[in-house]
Amino acid sequence: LSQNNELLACYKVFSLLEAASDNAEAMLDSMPGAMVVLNQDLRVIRANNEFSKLSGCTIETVLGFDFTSLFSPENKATLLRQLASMKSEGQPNKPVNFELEIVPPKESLARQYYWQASVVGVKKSAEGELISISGKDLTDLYQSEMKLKNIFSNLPLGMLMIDSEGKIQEVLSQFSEVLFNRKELVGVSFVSLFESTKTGQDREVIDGLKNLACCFGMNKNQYANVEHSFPRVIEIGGVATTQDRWISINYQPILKLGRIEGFILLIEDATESIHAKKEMERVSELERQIQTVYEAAIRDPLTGLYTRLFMKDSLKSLISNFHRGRIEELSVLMMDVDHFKTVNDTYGHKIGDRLLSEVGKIILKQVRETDIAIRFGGEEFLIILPSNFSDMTSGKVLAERIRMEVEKYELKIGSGEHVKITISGGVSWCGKQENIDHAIERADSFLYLAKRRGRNCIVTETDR
Amino acid sequence: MSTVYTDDIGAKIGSIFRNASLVQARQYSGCEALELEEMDDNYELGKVISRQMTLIVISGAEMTILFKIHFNSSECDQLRRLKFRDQSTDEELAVAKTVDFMKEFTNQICGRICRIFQRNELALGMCIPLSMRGWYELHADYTKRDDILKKFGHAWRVKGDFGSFTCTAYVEINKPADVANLQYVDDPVSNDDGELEFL
Repeated sequence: LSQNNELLACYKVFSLLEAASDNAEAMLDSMPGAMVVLNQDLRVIRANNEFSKLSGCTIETVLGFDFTSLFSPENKATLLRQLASMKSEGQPNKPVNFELEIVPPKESLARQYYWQASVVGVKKSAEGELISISGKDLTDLYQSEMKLKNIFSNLPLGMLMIDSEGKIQEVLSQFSEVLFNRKELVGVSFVSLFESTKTGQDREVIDGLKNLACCFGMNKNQYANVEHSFPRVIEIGGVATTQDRWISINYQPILKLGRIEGFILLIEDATESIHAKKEMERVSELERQIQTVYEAAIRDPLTGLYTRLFMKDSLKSLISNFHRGRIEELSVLMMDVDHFKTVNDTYGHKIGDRLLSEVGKIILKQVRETDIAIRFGGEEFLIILPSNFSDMTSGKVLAERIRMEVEKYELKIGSGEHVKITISGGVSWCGKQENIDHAIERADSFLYLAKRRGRNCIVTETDR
Repeated sequence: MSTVYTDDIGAKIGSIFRNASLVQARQYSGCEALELEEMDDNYELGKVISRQMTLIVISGAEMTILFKIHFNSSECDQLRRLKFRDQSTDEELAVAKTVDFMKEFTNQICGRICRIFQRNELALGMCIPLSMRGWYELHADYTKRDDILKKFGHAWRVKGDFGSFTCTAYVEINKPADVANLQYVDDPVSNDDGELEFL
């Protein structure tokens, strides 16, 4: 019984060891990436599932598989060189890392692998010196990189990596060479690309670009203080032409552990957009000038009222709206400053002009935005009042208000002397089928009537 | 070299092991169409042969034997299925069952060897079988020891329609005189498979 108990105890210990060993081996089997242990003839004595699959074998038949058979003759030579370097003098059993392509037996396409090899420390094995090799499949990564490179190459965008000395470390897009009209950009100082252009550069632009090299090692906050000094748009010399060109630069710092260790510059040919912008500015300036000329043509500079030139344009749309029923009533006011010739003769044209200017201000103050107030003649004013109500009173009300405001006004001309003026007016209403010119003529005739009635009064159609 | 020492004792013991393994294999699997095959000339003890391995140590005052069977579960699984008429398709379970099957088989071969030595008045004991991956063979210690008078190794294959498995035995003899007159005297024919009850 005692012997059986001892055997049972041993059995339990062995079972535990077996389970532990099985678990460890199962982990190795399912380890991501390819893993092999090779003997001195570079034949497999242990492989995981991924390598077995890669070799076209099962986990059992992979035993004895010739590892070098995965490689082309050229790559096999490289492999042997790499493995031999592990035994180089002074660094015995130094692990080696290398990228090398394989052609798996059951696949038509080559796969790129990153290999890590090291000597396994098992002494006096019948298999000789053992080498452990693990490989990571970089094929997808390479393909993605190739895709990205293709995209970058075809983008109409310059992409450069800048090192800590401000030199171009890598050219990420072929368009960069087109932009700067240079083949070899790697190793060239980025600033020098601008210093050598035939147009020359402002000191500020060059200094701003030189600041780039000063940013290395900076954290984000420190960088934020310098970033503004980088030139965003730079004029460069034309490529094989005399036409000047512009580029816009976007600065992307590359951070490692919170510190800047490089820059990616995204450079765009901004020539077209700068030209377009300049053209737009030129067009807007022209438009502004045209507007100024037009304003000068339609605004009377003395009174601020519209001129007769504007009357034609504005009346056309007003009449059209009136006929379409969008406006119910159209009142026409014709007003004239009383005895203005005498004022001019007595106080001079300067005073006369000042008085006309004040009348203009009074009219502008009294009319609505929809009303059209025009300096019709020297001291004669025409006001057209559109209205949505047909009460036939709004014209007279406005004309009376203007008359009273003018009557109240006194122009001081020094030494306590004042000049006062009055204004008379005639108001007509334009019928739906009537020509506006006839309504103006009638308003003018009512004005004449007002003058005859003693001036400083308003006569409307209903007052005659 | 499949045999390190080829003198009389070595050859006799090697012959006993080979016979014991073949007879036990036929008896255990119920398959008569099995035969022995010698290893290639370039084989040497300590080389990795298969994916799996089972081992037992047989020891006594006169000698110590490290007996191993190296096998691939995909091959030996056919022997197991033949014996147990197992048609299940669970591959993972089949590997575990085959390993257990081969452990028991190793146990039976070593039991047979012990009984043969017992009939030659050599009392040897054996441990219970242990399974491990075949590449652990790398760690086997076959270095020469000065205090051992004779040591030799044997390796052979048992093959059949299922494929094959390889047996290796490393023998260290402390008292060569006591084993000089070894005779192969096999078990009487029995229906008992010889399985140990406690297992």
